Formats: sequence, structure tokens, C-alpha cells
Amino acid sequence: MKSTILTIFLLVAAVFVLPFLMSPFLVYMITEVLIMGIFAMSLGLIMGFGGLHSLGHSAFFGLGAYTVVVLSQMVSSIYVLLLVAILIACAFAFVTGLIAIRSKGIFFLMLTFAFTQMLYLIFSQSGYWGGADGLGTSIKPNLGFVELTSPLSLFYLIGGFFILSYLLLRLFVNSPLGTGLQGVMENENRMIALGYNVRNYKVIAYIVAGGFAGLAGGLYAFKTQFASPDLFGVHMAATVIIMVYIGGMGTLFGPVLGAGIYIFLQNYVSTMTDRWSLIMGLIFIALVLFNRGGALHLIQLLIGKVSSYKLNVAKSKGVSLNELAKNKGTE
Amino acid sequence: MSLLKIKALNKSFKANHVLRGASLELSAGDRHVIIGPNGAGKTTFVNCIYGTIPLDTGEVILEDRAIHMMPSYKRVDLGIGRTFQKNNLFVNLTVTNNVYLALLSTKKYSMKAFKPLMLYEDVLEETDAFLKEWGMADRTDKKVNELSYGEQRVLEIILSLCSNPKILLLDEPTSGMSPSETASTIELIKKIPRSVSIIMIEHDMDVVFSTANKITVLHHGETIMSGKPEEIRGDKMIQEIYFGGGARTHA
Ligand SMILES: Nc1ncnc2c1ncn2[C@@H]1O[C@H](COP(=O)(O)OP(=O)(O)OP(=O)(O)O)[C@@H](O)[C@H]1O
Ligand SMILES: [Mg+2]
Repeated sequence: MKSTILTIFLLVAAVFVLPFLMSPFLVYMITEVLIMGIFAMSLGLIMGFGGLHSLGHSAFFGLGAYTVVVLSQMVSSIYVLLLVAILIACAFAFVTGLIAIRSKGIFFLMLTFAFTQMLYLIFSQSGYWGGADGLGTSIKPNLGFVELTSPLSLFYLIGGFFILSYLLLRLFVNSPLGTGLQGVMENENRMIALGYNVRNYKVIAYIVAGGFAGLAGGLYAFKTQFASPDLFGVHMAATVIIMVYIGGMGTLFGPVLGAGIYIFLQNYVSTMTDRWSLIMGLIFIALVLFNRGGALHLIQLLIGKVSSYKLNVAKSKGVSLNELAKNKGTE
Repeated sequence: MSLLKIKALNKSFKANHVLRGASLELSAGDRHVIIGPNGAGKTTFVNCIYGTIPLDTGEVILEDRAIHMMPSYKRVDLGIGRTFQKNNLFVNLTVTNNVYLALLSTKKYSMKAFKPLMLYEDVLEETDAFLKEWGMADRTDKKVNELSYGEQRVLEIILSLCSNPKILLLDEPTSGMSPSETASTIELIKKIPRSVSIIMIEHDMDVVFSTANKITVLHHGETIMSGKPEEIRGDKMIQEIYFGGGARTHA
């Protein structure tokens, strides 16, 4: 409990203070990190806690972005726009999830990829929504009482959504359903034998992840004022997987860290050399080969906070269970 | 009045006709042991009763209710539990968390999302109590893969008890155990209250005759005989195919 409050406090403080210490370009970049952070966390939820490796997670992000751009021609309220973006993403996750979740491993990966490619084709070929060129808009976040126009206010807005998403996802991971999900990842057959309706666990997690990715996409549209079919492309789908991997699976914060590393490298290294993606690739390979826990685990090792890497039920749950047990003993 | 009626199960894997009309009746309180040589179809029989795999034809009736079309989780709800011949545990998790997950599945709120940690406390208490009751209180923080094989086998049984089943299907609970582990496992099985009826697959004849009040012999997918232990022990044909004829026996 204490650590939760501390986390919230640090996050809020960081979001408030950071812009005063940073250049406008940094503010802009961190805004992007926060958006991609929500996106990566949502993929991290199904990959790191559910064992569902999706190569089609960009579908929800793209749908969220397109929803905001297209609807912004008719609606200006950010609440309506984002809500519809989330709902559409959830609906797509529900329909495709029911189908994809029947399969596992590489088949799941290919199915999710196929669904996203389908969207890519639809959006790039169709005459509506700008076709292959994409569609622009000039929407400003309208909170009802105030319209946000400056990059700084956009940063605060997205910072707020980021913190909210983080807390909700954390609640989800620690909920009975989230715990069951981690059990499914550990040993699906035993979960079935214990009486869990495993399919529902996976579908619900898939929908929740889709919804948060939709939110991230919607926010992205507010930032870039643009949605293009590339959002459904292979590159986008792979990027977010890389973020989750380099940051660290099995935690919520790992993927955010991964998004940060990725975007920083992209922005800084690319000013120094054209081969930034080569460097990114080498980091990716190194982490996959030598440190499955990703950058977060590396940091934890450096500061000596973690002895072994097991950040699903065993760790996150185990720790809190033990804490509870201890508190009981001393009462 | 039988609790569970298993009628004429048939199951094939491609051309391999594994179950050929296997049947069994379980009365309340029974310790009903299934014996039969390797590959007779015993595990497949249990898999079909539990819904782990679908059967081709036949019926499983629990208290006048046909359950053989239901998914496993519904059968668990109705009071059936099982163990596996090969340990099937959460090997990377602690003993506590294994039992915790098993108990959580029985809770009404097990599918609640976005609910805080507070709700877990009753499961936690039950987990502690459960591990004490079944003699694993000193192993709580050990990961399953740090337990001895025999301890893992025992945990396999403990997990199956978590859903408070009316009927328990035990698939060779003592397989691979040392004699002393086997002895203590028999004690554990005897400790299971009579309100739990048991179908148990077992090869070890000491275990069979020290626990069973009924025995069914499964041979080439057919339940060729069913009766009291004395009857089975005395039967000529059974002695030939099972006790005498060079078939596998541990005893
Ligand atoms: N899932 C499966 N797919 C294909 N064949 C299977 C499957 N399960 C069992 N079989 C086959 O069915 C037959 C019976 O297997 P089963 O495991 O039921 O025997 P058993 O009586 O439990 O043997 P044991 O004493 O060795 O445990 C074997 O020939 C086995 O190869
Ligand atoms: Mg078997």
C-alpha cells in the first residue's frame, strides 16, 4: 500500500516538475514516450502476464487514432472521442480475440498479425479516411471547461492519462482476474483442471489490453493530428514488441522503460548516425540473449534490489502475500 | 444409489481404439480402484470423466445429471477434482501460491477485475489453514521445483482437494515414490474424509488392497470386471492377466 502511494506521488511529481527542467523538444519527446508507454504497457499485460504474444497489437492503437481523427470532424469533446476510441478498440479485440485465443504460440502470433494486416489493407485501399495517404485533423483537446492548446498542456493531459492507465492496469494485474491470468501463463492445463474458465480469462485480458492500446492511439491522434495506415503496419507492431522486450516483461513499468529507451535512441542516435536501428537491434539482441528480464531487471540488478527474476504471481503476488501474512502475525 | 455412473465410454485416437465401452459405478464414500496393465486406457478413462478430453460415445451421469458434454470447469463446479499421473503443478511458483491459485478458483469473485488486493485475505487464511491441515506448513515459501519429487506428488493431491470435491479422481498418486513416501501417501489418502468418494488408478498392489473397497479391472479399454477386493483377488482370469501372466506389477 505504502509503495503504491509513493509510486503515485513520484509519478505525479515527475509529470509536474519535469517540464520546468526540460527543453520544449524534450517535453515533446516525453509526451511521445508516455503515449507509447501506455501502448507498450497494454501489450506487456497480455505478453508478460498472460503469455499471449501478439504481432497485431497495433490494430487497436491504429483504430484508436483513426477513431479520433475521423470523429473529430463531428465531435469536439475529448471524453466522447477517447471513449469511442476505446470502445471500438475493445470491440475489435473482442471479436478477433475470440478467434485468435483458440490458438497458441506462433499460430496466435500469425492470427493477430493477419487481423492487423486486414485493417492495413482496408484503410490503405479504401476511398474513405484518406486512403494510403492517411487523414489529418486539427483537433485540440477540449475538456469542456477549457481547450488545451499548448504543447505543455498536452503533456500534462497525457501525463494524467498515463498515470491513470498505470494505476488501472496495476489494479487489474493484482485483481483476482489478473492473478488467474498469471496462473494461466504458468500452467494452462492445471488452471483448466482447477476449474478456471481459461478462455474467458484470456479474452478479457485481450479486451482490456486492446482498450488501453485504443486509448494510446486516441491520444496519439491528439498529439500528431494525423492517422495513417502505417499505424497498422508490421513496423508498428514490431516496434511495440521490441519496447516490451527491451524494457522487461512481466512488469508494468518495464514496457514503459522500453518505450523510453526506444524513443530516446530513435531521437538522439538518429541525429548522430543513420544506423540508429542497427544500434537498437544490437541492444535488442543483447537483452534477449543475456538478460531476459530486460532493462528494468538490469537496473534492479545494478541497485541490488532483486535477487531473482520472477515477476508474475511468484514475485508480485508472493511478495504481497508474504507482506499480508507478516502483518497478520504482528497484529 | 450410485453417485456417479459412467456408461460405456468409447474413445479413439485416430485408429487407436483406446476405450471400448468402459463403465463404472461409484457409490458415495467408495474407494474405487482401477487396475490394469500399461496402456490399458486408465488415464484416458479419467480424462474423459473429467472433461480433459472429449469422449466419442458414452455417458457420465453425476446424480442424475449428464455431465459428459460439459467443459471441465463446470464439472469442477459440480464437485469433481483430479490429480495427474505426471505432476502438473505451477513449478515456478511457491507452494503457497499453488494452493492460493487452487483456492481462488472456487471463489465467486475469481473473475473480478480491477478489484484491490484486500479481497485476497480470506483466500490467504484458507491457504495457510489448508497447508497446515495437509502437512505442508513448513514448505510454504519453497518453489515447487525445489521440492522433492515425492513432495510434489503430495502437492498434486492437495491441489485437487482445494475445490472441496465430492468425487476425486487420483491417477497413480504413488507412482515413482519410494516405499516410505508411498506409505505416508497412503496415510494421506486415508485421511481424506468419507464425504469425498474416490476413483483411483493404482499399480502398487499394497496400495490397492490397503485402500480399495471396490476394484475395477480395465483391460484393452474394457472394464472386464468389477467387484470387492476379495473377489478380484480370487478371480482366475484376473490372476492370469494381471497378477501372474508377466504383466507389470510393483508388488
Ligand atoms: N492424447 C492422446 N493422443 C493420442 N493417443 C493417446 C492420448 N492419450 C493416450 N493415448 C494412447 O491411448 C493408449 C492408452 O493410454 P493411457 O495413458 O490411457 O493408458 P494407461 O492405462 O493410463 O497406461 P499407464 O499405466 O502407462 O499410465 C495408449 O496407447 C496411448 O498412446
Ligand atoms: Mg496412465
